[in-house]
Amino acid sequence: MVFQNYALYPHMTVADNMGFALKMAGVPKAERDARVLEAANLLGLESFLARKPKALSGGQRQRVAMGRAIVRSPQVFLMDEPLSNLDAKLRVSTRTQIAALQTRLGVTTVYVTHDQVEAMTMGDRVAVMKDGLLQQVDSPLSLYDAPTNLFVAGFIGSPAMNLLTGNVVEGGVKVGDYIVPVPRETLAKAAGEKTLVVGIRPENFQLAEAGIGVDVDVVEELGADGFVYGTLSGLSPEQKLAAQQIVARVSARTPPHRGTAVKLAAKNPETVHVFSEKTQARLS
Amino acid sequence: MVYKGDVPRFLASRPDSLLIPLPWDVPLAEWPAEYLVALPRGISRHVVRFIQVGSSVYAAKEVIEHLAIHEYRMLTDLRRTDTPAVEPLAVVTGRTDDHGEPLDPVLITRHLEFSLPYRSLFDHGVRPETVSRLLDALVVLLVRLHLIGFLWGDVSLSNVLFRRDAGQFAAYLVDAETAEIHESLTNGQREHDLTIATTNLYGEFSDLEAGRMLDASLDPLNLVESILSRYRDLWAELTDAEEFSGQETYRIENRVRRLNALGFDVAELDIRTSADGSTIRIQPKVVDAGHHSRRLLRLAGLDTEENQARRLLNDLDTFRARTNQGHVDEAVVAHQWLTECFQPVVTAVPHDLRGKREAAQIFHEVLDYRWYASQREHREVPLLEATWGYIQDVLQALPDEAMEATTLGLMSGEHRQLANPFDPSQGFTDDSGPMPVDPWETDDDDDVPDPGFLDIEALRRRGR
Repeated sequence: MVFQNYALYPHMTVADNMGFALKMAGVPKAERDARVLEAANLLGLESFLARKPKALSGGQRQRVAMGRAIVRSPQVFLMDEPLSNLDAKLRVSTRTQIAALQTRLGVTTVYVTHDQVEAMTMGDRVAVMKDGLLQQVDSPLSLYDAPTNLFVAGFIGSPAMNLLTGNVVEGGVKVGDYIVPVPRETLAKAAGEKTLVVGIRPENFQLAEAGIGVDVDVVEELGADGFVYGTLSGLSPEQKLAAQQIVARVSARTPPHRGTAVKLAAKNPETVHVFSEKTQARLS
Repeated sequence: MVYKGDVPRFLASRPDSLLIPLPWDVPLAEWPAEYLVALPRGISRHVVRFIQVGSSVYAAKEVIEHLAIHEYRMLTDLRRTDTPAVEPLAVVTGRTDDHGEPLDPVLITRHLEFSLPYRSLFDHGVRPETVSRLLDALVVLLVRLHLIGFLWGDVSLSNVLFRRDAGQFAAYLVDAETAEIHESLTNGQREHDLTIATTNLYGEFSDLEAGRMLDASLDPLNLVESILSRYRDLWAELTDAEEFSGQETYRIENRVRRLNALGFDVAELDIRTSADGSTIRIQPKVVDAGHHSRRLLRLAGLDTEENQARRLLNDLDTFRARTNQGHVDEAVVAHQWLTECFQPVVTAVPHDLRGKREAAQIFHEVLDYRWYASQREHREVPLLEATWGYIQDVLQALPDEAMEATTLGLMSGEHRQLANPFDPSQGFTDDSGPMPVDPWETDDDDDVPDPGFLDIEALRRRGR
């Protein structure tokens, strides 16, 4: 394992900055040059090879450092927050470039990030950690569609999944005045628990005749879709202040109005997530 | 009172109120020159600046919060174990710019007086023997760190400062960002540090070579290979077990003397005898660096580097013999030596020349000067006469090493100018030329829409 320091050496060219470890390892010059050129091609740095690193931007310097690692043909790359000191615009484009680079190199890469969008869009498998404990390792879609516990459910996805606590009743979990249907076998797994948490993604909500009563506070229209933000109906003004926000994605053609009350139900009852409040684990 | 953004917070054991009015709402790289001091230093990946605070000079490094606090604590631990490292002063957190955007915290350390970063040494041309001494100092530091269970993680010339130590150098750790402290290190952990050391040092020597600052007779590869062998020799001498016949008990004393000569005290020596007493096996378990400097501190109250202490102690022994005081208590003689030899030399140095060398280093150099003068003139040159000669012939002409930027030159060679006098990582002004087009950073990035949120539908379409 080699720690890659990305301080660049000011007197050496970009090519030498990338290839010096090969030189130390006794790799012949022709092969060294070929590997440096290949890495530079992958990183869009060909025209910089003969330059000194002086005037390079932060992103370019970082790519030179990545080139240093690439030329050594490692079996695994570990990238620890590689985009954290780039500006927002460059982050998005560099993220795309790094993902493409990884595909072309075909080398297993462990990529550490605090940005879930980065993790979900770049990763083949994503490991979610909390306080040093591994919560779940899965494909991005499995993390999204079948989060293993309440932490992953609330963490992955933006806007976040609605996590609503209700009493266990015959046929489901009662949230406000509405019983969210939950299959009998799922309820059976919660033996002895009086309350459970149901999780419904904003895009799995629809306006319905019968559903969870929600007072609409804000409607945000984004192109074809809109987001409705509200709180459970029937709360006192004081309770409302402390109440959990409920988010639903609705068609922008028929958006509800601010200040009205609507009813929300799951479009697809099978994708309602159910979690134990006690163990935080997924039951559905 | 109107605050621009949030108020910065200071984590410090002994807070310096003069830090408070500094422009914490400005990124360190953009601080006005009035706050900065252009002192020579190594290259780094973070923004590092020397700042003037009252009459002191501090080093400031902008780095993310958990690393800043981690490094502050690591440096504090090193100071506690008496390991040569820069002194941490504070971590400034909660910084925001005048738009309310958060800025990374700043770690502040005290500038090490009379310290020489390798770049400033090489800038003036370095003889091959000096390079060898610098490597020795680095190896001693690395071994000392490993002995106390300190895994450095980023061994490099840029991450140490050198101080003159009689004819040698002493190395101080500057950067502890990647460090870990363990109960003790495994061989694998030590090898890991050595791998990092060789790669970084090879890069640094190659860079000096590219900048025509490395003596042509030196080869970066040979240099880093010699670090490995020096490290292994020293480590073996300090930690290896040794077995010998039960008749050779004097070898226990020999081993202790060898360790003392290397500058280490033996705090715990494991001695095992075979059942029949025919063989003895000894192994040092705990060794502490600073054998001579501790002795000098105890006897004369002088806090010096190890080799300076060795030299001064030799002079003290000579003084004792010359004055026929073999029977007198050592501490009493040490006091006489201090008042009759050491102090007269130090006080003879004019005030304006005291920034050139530390007192103990001056004393060492005066002793050298006197030896050469006595040889030349075939007589015993008195100490004070030698001191005046030294001041006249040597000290006057030396560059100031305490820290005056003006005399040290702004980290530039004779004919090359740093692109940014406060940041050697930016290279020199003569490497210019038009910037090529960068396909990764072109502005027409309309094809990279940033949804700003997790677009799960796009992910489903990609069929992952």
